Amino acid sequence: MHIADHVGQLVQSEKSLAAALESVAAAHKDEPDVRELCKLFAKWSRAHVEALKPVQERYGEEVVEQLSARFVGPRKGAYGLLQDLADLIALAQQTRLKWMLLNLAGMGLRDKEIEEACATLGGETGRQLNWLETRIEDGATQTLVAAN
Amino acid sequence: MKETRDSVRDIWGQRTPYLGEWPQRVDEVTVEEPEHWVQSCCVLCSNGCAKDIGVRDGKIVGVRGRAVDRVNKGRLGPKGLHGWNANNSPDRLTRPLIRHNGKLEETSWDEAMDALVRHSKELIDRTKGLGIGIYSTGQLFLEEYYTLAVVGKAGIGTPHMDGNTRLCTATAGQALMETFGSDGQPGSYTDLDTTEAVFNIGHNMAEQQTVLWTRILDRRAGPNPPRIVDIDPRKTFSAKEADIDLVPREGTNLAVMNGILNLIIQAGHIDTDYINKHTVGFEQLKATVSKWTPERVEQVADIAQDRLRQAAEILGNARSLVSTVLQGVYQSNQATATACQVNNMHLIRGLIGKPGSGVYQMNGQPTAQNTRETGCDGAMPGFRNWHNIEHIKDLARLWNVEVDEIPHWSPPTHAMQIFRYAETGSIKLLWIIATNPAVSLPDLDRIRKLLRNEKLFVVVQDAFMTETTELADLVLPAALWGEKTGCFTNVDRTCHVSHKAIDPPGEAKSDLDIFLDYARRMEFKDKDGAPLIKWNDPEGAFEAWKECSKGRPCDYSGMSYAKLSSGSGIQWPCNEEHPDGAEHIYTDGVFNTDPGYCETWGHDLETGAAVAEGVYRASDPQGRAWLKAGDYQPPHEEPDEDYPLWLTTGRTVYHFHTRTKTARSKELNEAAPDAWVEIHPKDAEKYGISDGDMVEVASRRGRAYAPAKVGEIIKQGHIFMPFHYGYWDHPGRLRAANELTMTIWDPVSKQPSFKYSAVRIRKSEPGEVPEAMGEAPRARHELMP
Repeated sequence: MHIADHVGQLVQSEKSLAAALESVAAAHKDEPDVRELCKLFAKWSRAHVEALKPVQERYGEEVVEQLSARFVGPRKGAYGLLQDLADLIALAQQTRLKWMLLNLAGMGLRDKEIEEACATLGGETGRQLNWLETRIEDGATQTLVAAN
Repeated sequence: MKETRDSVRDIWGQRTPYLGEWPQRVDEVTVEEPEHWVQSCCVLCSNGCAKDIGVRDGKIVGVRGRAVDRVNKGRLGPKGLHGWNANNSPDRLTRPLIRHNGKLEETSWDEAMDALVRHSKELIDRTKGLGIGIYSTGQLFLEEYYTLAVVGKAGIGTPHMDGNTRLCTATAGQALMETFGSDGQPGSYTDLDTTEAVFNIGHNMAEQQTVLWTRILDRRAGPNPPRIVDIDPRKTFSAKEADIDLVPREGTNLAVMNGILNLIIQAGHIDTDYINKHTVGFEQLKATVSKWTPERVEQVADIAQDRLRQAAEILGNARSLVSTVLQGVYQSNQATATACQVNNMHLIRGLIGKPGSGVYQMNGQPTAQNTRETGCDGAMPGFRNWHNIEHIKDLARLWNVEVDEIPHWSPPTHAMQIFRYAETGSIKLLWIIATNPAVSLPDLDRIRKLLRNEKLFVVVQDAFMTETTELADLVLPAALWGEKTGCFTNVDRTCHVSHKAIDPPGEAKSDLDIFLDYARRMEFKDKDGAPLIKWNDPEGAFEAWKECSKGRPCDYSGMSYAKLSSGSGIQWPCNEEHPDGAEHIYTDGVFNTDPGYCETWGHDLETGAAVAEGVYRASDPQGRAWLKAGDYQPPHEEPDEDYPLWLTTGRTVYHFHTRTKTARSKELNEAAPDAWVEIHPKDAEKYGISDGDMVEVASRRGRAYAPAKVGEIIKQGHIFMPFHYGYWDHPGRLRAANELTMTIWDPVSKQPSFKYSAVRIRKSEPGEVPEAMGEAPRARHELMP
């Protein structure tokens, strides 16, 4: 059984995502939508970490140091924002995958609490990802073609 | 002067009670006896009051309401009766102006257009058009919008096209799209003639659409008056007439609407059959609102529980209902989600598509409806879907251009983002048309800095010098209403024609002529090398628009100038099926949500994230409407120790926008000459402020000074300032409300949130009040010849 490991990775992924979101919100505060949505999403991710504590208590707590998706920013300017959003997308995708896998484990374990958490909280991760993808697509052409 | 009524003193005029039909009442003001009358319609709010222009000796001498028209039956409001005086003002711009060595100087049209064309061509070369932004308005004519849309999308090839309609009506269009699949008001003004109840949320109709309000007052004076529910943080005229008025804390509209829907659902005042047959998402809606008990609504929104229940009683029991929504929702927190709840309320009660029931997601501006239809404001022409390649191919065929010419890699850029790109330098040419962002955008200090940037070439097209022309590199003098022919459409889809009555002054040209001239000089061509713009006058543009709109929800194909000139305005859809226009849409409960037809795949109402095409198609709505709901989030800025009050902004009946026109009417200007700050007596006492004191209001963005009006009109803990007052006629005092407001917008509609800022207030010291802008705007006659 590798539940403890996996949940540890999920928690670490959420923590990295939250920290990255907070960093982007501060660094790009003059893009109001980025500032407000990243602040909101960071709150969601921090709440996810709290919500996973009971699962960790049940299956064991493993602390994981480093995952592959990483935030290398914050960077400056329009192109910097594009790259920062790309990093956030990678972190959010990584997080969402871990929720999906946890759900599969939860189904096998017949653990209703895990399944419920994956539906609600994993669903929120999906919504974070949808917004990040929308936002990067909205601004990409202008940045890549016209920005200095 | 001859006037049939004093509309300044008595805004709505004499009652003509509704007795089976709304009676005619012709309002008229003339300063001289006209030689002849020319058919037109008013452009000083979105009601669409048909009126004739009285002409004598080549000047406008007055106006008279058209008795035959379905919208107003002859009535006019104070702006309609007096605003026309602006046409005659000696301040009118009559020649182009160009900035040389820091000063604006008169120049020829050739020189002016050369400069514009030179900059445009250079940017199209370097950035494929992505360096050009067009910020227009809600006050041009349909033919002008459509021409501009084609110029922008197929000529220049820029995605950066939006208007000040983003500030006023974006949420209306967006909410309609999210729920019904496309824009298009499900309701007619005639619904007011029979409806059992009226619901105004965030809409001071008594001051904003005075003639529509008159229609309601006449029902109230007749047998079987409708009951009225009103939601507003101010005790406006509209609120005072209501049977139940709810006065919520700023920013809590969604909590209130969620609470109302919860009560309606709990009480079973729903049409389950209609819900099952014609909607998707009821269980999710029910779950979202179930948390909003009257207790919770009271705690968050500061509305007494029994008041909420009474409101829900009226709205839940009425067998017919007209709901109207405007800036109190659209310019506030969670605008789109709140507006959708109004749509949802009608859907779950089965009150859509039938006489007596309708939703008016309103516009503030007279022709804002047309920017939404023609694609000048962030939609695609004909309510098409930028994300549906078949719709883009449709336009490419219509205009005979390559598909890739038409920007469709992202939604058209919204106004605040256009200004952000101008600020950061990726937009280098900003063409501002018939609007005054230096007074009407939020955070004016930022806007002035941005427009002053030497690297940004600012073109302003207007009829007068304004706070924005002061910051322009090039000024193009434009004609006003009455000086050009064209059509425009109001909130209930009624299209009116306005015929040219007089010539524009000096060398001023109609916006249409300026766009056509631009297109010719830019040598915009179609695929076959023929001119891209195939018309050269208003009627030609109108005929081209008819073709574009055919088969789409806003179908004009059955209209013509001849038809529009033969009596009343005509509603769309007007086509083979409805040759005289249609009062109601969605009469069969089939909505525009089919994936091949809809205007959008929709968005997450809390975040604004786009729904993917694949996800939408898989959901297979089969013509049903979406019951989309969001949960309450607190506003982005809330009062705190440093800034303990809410500031909300709004209007007065006597002025339109930044008063460029209305302050040039003596009657209107005298009725409301200066800004003010409304403050509740308890707050006034706390801060040592008496009625009439000059006060300083400060936010994190800036400061403004205006005399205090102490009274219970405004909710405690809140203050109100009208947004109209800039500096062109009064440079001596920093006074614009938008010195204080925030740069933030609704995540779905991208409409800026003017209605909530955290501020502090104090009585100002004598002599401390600063001047505005550092430099007074100059009247036209002071400019270099």
